[in-house]
Amino acid sequence: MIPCAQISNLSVSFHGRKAITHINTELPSEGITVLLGRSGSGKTTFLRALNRLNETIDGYEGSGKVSLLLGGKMRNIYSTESPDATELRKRVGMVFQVPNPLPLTVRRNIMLPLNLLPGSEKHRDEERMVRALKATGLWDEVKDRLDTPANRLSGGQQQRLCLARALVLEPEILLLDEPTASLDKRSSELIEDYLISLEKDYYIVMVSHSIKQALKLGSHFLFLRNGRSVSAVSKEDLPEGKEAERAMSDLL
Amino acid sequence: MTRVRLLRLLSFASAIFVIGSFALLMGFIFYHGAPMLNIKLFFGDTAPIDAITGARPAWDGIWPAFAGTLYLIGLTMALSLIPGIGCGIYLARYASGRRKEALSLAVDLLASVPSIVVGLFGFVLILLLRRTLAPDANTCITLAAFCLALLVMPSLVVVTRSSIEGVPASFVLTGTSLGFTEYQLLRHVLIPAAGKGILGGIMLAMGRAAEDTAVIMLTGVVANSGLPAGLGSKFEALPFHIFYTAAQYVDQNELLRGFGASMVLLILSAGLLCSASRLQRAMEKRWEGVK
Repeated sequence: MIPCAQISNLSVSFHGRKAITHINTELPSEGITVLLGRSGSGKTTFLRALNRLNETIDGYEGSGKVSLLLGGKMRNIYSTESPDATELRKRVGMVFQVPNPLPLTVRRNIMLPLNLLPGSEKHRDEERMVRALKATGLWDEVKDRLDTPANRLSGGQQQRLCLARALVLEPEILLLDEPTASLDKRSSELIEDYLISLEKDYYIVMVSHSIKQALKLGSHFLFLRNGRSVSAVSKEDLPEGKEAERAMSDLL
Repeated sequence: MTRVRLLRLLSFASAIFVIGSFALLMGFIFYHGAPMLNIKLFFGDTAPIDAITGARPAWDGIWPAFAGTLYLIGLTMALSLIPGIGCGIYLARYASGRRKEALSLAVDLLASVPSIVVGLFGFVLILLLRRTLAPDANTCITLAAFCLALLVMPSLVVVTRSSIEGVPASFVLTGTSLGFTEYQLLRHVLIPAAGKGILGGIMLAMGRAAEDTAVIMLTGVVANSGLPAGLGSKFEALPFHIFYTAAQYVDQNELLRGFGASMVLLILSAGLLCSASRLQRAMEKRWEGVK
């Protein structure tokens, strides 16, 4: 199977402190890849290496190679064979731990990134907005209040709005950094359901804080500890049922 | 417990003091100035339309000083807005290390220069120009505006910088993760989100340009010149007019006209404040997309 990402010898440090060291791994292009590890293990840094977000943070230093499957071709995103960082980030969408809508209306939150694309057309942009909101189940809930501030939505709705905002740019890869960490159980389950429905259209790499969630969504698991990749397992390698959870927490 | 109550009492008393001073000052100016507010105060015995178009000079009115102050504010803003805000953006987003420290220090030092010294600088600058490049150079409205721009620029820089630095880091991260370029981030996220603060700085700068007397006294203001004839001409201004009246009035009526002028200056400043904050609110709504 072709991988959607090849990472070799990836190291990142901030102000001289190592965040991740010498990570070598491949992420499969089928199914969701879930990154697991205790806090401070480098999960977020690893994720942000895939859309070159680390380098916007003060004190960044990095080395190694990250190749992503973009437009059907493996490209090293830290070299000239890949589009530049801003273009790359449109093709590798990201959703953060805490919902982060801009202080704009629901509509403007989705439309702003669209309007800034070259050759944006109002009519087509509107269609893309509706499609993205439908894909995250938000359309029926917000279609009557598109022009109200996004921060009046509930936490779960805000997070689905952020997911829709990432989708509207039509990325090829989706990076999710503990997208349900700040949400209640019901909102989390809703998001999980939508992620499963998105799985076939996007390569998804996500960080999760819960083994249960990882097992529900993931088909490939990468464990990090102290900035190093300690093991990678596929769902088929794990035992069935309750045993799987125990095996996973042993690896953590 | 008593300490908490003491603190509350003290802060309450301070608030009363501020409000009281404000009310006293306003009341004083209104009491003396309000009865003087009429067409005659502005235009004297000249027909308003003639005075406004400059067809006839309005010797007895404050219209030339009023117009002079408006020109001065406009010219000062034209000279200071772009460098002031630009330098603030540079400090907030691009500068780092020693260059940032040196630049901040320079801005702080410039902010601490007394206005009379800035005026003196303008005056000496003209002397220098007369001996070298331009023997005909003289103090004028452009020189006054340039010196005022020097005076107000530091506050513009500081306010722009702190407003942009005060935008939550998550906005920057959000914009970056959506593939915004640095320009798009500034234009569509940072500057609009910092708009209110930046506007505050602009208001402060406009107010300073409207009220300052020390700078313009040495750089081109005169008591009686009529409307400014051009960028290189002498001009009148309200604060100088008030200052001059207070020092030289010959009868009660002239003093009262001085109060009228103070009142007009107050209304002018308040008017600028109102229109600027309305403009800002309209721009913010447009950014947010609220209908």
